Amino acid sequence: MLDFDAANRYVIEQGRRSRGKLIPICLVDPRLRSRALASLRRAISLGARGIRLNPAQQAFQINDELVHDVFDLADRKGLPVTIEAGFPVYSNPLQVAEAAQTFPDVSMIMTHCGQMLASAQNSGDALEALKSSRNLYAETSGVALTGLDGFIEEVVKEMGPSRLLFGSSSPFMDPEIEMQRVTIAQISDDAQRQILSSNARKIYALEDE
Amino acid sequence: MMELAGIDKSVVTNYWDLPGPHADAYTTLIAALKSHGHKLVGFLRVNPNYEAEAIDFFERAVKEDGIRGLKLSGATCPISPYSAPVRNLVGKAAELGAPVFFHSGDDPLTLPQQIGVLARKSPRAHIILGHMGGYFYVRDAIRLVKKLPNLYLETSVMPYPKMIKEAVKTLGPERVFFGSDSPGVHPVLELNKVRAAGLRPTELESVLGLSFENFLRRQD
Repeated sequence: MLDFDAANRYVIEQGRRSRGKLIPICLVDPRLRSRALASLRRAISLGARGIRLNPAQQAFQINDELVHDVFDLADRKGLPVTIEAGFPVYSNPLQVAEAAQTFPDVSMIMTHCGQMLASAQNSGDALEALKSSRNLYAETSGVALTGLDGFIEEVVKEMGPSRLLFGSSSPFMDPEIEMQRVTIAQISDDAQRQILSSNARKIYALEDE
Repeated sequence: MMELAGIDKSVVTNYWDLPGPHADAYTTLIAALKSHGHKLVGFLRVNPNYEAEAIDFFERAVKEDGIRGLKLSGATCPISPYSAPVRNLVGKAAELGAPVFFHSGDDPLTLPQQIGVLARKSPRAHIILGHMGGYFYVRDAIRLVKKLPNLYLETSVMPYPKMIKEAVKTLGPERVFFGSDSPGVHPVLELNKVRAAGLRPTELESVLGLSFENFLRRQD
């Protein structure tokens, strides 16, 4: 079981020093149960603007009742939850969708558009997850099919750009390349702007910052 | 797409596995090779579940229609990479001097280690791990290519530019081939990803074409 107190404090401090360039979110291991909630409350009181969950790292399934207290707290505090998604067994897109449907007032963001298969064979599941859960968003880092009627274009066609968020997964992926996944997509300039900036501003309540 | 990305020559394959219900996929491929032969190299995507029929089909394609290599994918044709039907088909490819491009990574029946078992059982075959292990199995793929001289890596889809650098550092650029998986993925994005890997100019030149050109020539 993993205690992220010190790491979260570090991230929040970097956020404070960055004058608005870095928006800190805090990581928690829900297997710690009440200790996880206490850790979250501490991080939120220090300035965390969101919560992150990494089911594959900590070997729990995102749709397990184990996570419910964390989602409950996110709901009460009005904080979005970023979920490392697309990992088989732990966070495939339909599992994330189930979590999103159980907590319909929590904004949940699935990283990598919920897809971490070289075949992109779960892109259908990812789209279905977005269609079935209005509080679910997809962060774009690493999504394979883009630029030629790919996933980003498909989502925009189906439901507009408001549910897509640019992300880079830096330092694992290259932020410039990841930005190109959005800028190369065959979508309007306005859709690009929403994905690259204004959608995240809304979700993290940064519109006045 | 090739012009947009500044790509001179490309391996192309049919999208539907053959033999199969989409027989026109073959005629489309061959027609493209006939009209753009100087720009395209044809690999035939085969469904090994058809066993003897698949082997005959592939052999005719190589001998009569200029097909240069074999494409296999456990993601669309559920069969173990080291099962007898696949080994027999790959054996025929080796006999014909045709390299094999194998979709690798993430999905069951596409794991680099499974393809590694095939590579050990078929030492005369030259097998390219397409997508170099995908999202989760890149290090597995690199280690396997280091161990087995008849394995190579192709860069498309795998999203970590740093792993291309690591692959070239570990294996040398001769065993790493640029690919785009176009039209599924945008070739400019895939090209820029390789350029972002921090390779030296000679390494980049190799990965972007020279290595694969030399590799193909060696198969003749």
